[in-house]
Amino acid sequence: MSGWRDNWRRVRAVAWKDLTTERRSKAGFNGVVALGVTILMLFAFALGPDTGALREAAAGALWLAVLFAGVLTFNRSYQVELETGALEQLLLYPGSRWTIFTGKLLANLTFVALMLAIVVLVGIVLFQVSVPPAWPAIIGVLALGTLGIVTLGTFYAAMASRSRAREVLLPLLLFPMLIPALLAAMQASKALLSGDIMNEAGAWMGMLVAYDIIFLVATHLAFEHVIEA
Amino acid sequence: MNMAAQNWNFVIAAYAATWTFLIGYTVYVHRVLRRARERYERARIVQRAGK
Amino acid sequence: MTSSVMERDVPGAGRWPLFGAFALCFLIGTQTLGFLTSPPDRDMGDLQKIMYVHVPAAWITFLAFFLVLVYSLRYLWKGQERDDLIAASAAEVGAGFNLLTLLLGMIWGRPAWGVWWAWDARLTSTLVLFLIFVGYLSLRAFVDDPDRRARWTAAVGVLGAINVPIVYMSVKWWRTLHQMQSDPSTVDPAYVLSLRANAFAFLFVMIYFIRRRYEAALLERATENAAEAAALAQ
Repeated sequence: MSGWRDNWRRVRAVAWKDLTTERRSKAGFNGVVALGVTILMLFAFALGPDTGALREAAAGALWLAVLFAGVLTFNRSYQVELETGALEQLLLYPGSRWTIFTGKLLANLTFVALMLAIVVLVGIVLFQVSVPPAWPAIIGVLALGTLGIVTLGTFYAAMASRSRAREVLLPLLLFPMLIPALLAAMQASKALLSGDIMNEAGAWMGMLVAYDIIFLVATHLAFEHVIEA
Repeated sequence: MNMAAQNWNFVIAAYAATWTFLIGYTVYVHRVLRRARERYERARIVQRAGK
Repeated sequence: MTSSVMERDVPGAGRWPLFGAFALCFLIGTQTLGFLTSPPDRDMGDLQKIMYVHVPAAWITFLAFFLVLVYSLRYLWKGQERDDLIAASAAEVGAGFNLLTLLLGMIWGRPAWGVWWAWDARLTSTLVLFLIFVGYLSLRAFVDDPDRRARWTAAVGVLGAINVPIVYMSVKWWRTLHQMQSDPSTVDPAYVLSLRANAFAFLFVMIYFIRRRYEAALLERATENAAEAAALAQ
């Protein structure tokens, strides 16, 4: 079983390198958070200022803010390798290619999760959200939704970051794929925020779990085709 | 214009759209095919000449 | 380990133009059949006739995407360039039928529901599928290296195909949980024969389109490969 230990070590190495590289500096993080907050504000301008309307829209606005800000991190996670040619070096090492993907996935997850935490807190304030007693469940939804977004985001960025028009290509490929996850996350969040009278949050969360599992597996299987080419 | 007549306009629009697409794509694919074949033949001539 | 398209792989047009002519005539026949033999629907009146183009177009859209899935998988498995070209041809034709489906859905919806767009599960899923098609075709346009292009779009095609039923289910839930309009559902038996006939007609047209597009793609690749070989030989 030392194969697994080797793989895990590789995953950790890639994740650690990604997290500590200068691209992921404080400035980069702050910038993404600031962008998330700005997007929240823009939504508030579009939909508010009535409290009722804001609370209705809070879940949707939050997820979109996280999505748009988060998208920026995915291409960047391959940027260092692209600029230094380190990708070819990484590929020279024998062993499962999927470990590169898992490493980057973990790094991106950490990054986006931290960003999301801040944006959520700001969103609660800006959108005058009253936090319900079911807030642990909301954290569950946030986790599941983020996992889905980051999994596919990291995967498609492996291609988009290495093609022309990468800024357009990543959202173009990614956003339609994320529709079930976003729909489920938004609806579950929305339901939980307003007391979940119809008990629908559970069903949506179930769908998120299934989505995450399916695409975690699919992306790991497909990654070797994408990274080698 | 009554309901029935209005509805017929939509039916006509639907069939017009369908046939516009079908004929349009036929013309397009034949054009692409012709150009591809021309380029291929030209390349073959060059290749034969080169040998 | 990929196998590239070579001169010997390039086909002539063969009997295909004949098939195309047949498909065209058959379609004219089935459309006439549909027009002349179906009585106006109880609820929809003459709008029902749109069904003979909208429903087959939708079926062909999904069939084409299924072909993209199958040939993408085959390419990833066997590495034959031909499979990539078939997938790409199917994607282009599928995107065309997809756009047509959406347009026809709107043309039907406006008089039937009063709005140009209703967020029902099927129409919405068809729109998402179109965006996935566009993503696939854009990726092909933005990647120049043929090997990379083939592998990447194959992966994108497979993942996209996996997503389609998930999208449909999630939109369906979204709609039923919020109790909006119900989907137009079962087909009155009076229309089934014409519908099936038209569906076959569309199928023949799709086969013809994909085949000719594939032929062109083969020629293009063979030309490129030959040029590459010549350049390397010098």
